Amino acid sequence: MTLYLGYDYVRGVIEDMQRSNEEWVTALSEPVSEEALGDLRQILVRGLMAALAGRINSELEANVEDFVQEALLKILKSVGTFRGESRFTTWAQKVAVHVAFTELRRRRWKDISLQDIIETSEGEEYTPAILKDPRATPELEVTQQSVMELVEDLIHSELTEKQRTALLAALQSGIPMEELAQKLGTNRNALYKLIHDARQRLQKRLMEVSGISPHDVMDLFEVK
Amino acid sequence: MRIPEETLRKFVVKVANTRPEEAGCDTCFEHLHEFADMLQKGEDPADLMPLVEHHLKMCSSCGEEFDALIEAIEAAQNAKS
Repeated sequence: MTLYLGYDYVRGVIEDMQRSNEEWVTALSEPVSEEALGDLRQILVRGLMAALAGRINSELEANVEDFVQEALLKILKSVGTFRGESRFTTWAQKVAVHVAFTELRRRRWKDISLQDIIETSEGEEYTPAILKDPRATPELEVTQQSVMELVEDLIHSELTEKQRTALLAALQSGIPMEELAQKLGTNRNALYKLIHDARQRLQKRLMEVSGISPHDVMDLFEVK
Repeated sequence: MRIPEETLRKFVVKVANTRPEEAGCDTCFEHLHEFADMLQKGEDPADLMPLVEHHLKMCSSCGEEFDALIEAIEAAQNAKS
């Protein structure tokens, strides 16, 4: 029997600064190893610098330092919950990315009320398509357009007020889930469920009204 | 009140792609590191975690975080190689 350890796997172990998952967990549990903490900080800073480079216009380094600091506190607090399904550093990077995005989204949307979002959207003109389907014939375009118009009509006629408010705010402004959830007095998971229920209702009614199956809609918009 | 056309186009696809059972944001986040690592190792995480894969297509907030996570992992790898 040949035991083959792929290059990526070996490289992954080296990248984790020669620590196994168990060693990371031990080193970051009380008493915390300052050396391990410093190594993890380096990994997280490097990762976030790259991930946020195109998303933050100014003070990237200072922001990343703050996010990593907060992420390290969360990681130290929850290190015992790591179950080893991935490399430890991937789990830690996930926490850091989540901390950074949560804060960036909060800053972007904190002074904008739900009412502002709806009112601003109401005043907007119909935005022309940025990406036209290159294979679209005039006939295909007409069919796509009629399906889109039907879905928009169904949003207004078939959903509950709560579903419609949430969905239109999300679609018209692009507000992220957790920020919209907070403004609606709910949480990200419950909001996803609300919108999932709305999508299910729309899918059913779209099929009943137009006779087009979900599969055909996917084909129509060429999603494989 | 109109929805931007490109947004509406993407949403119509999501409506068509809606499944009776879908994972929520919490479930997706719980498995995201596992999903990312499998992808990095050249495996197909969608086979083992189809609900997470589907959620990432349906939820732009989770999808955005996943893309950033992959960028972060790759940056850490490139710095070492």
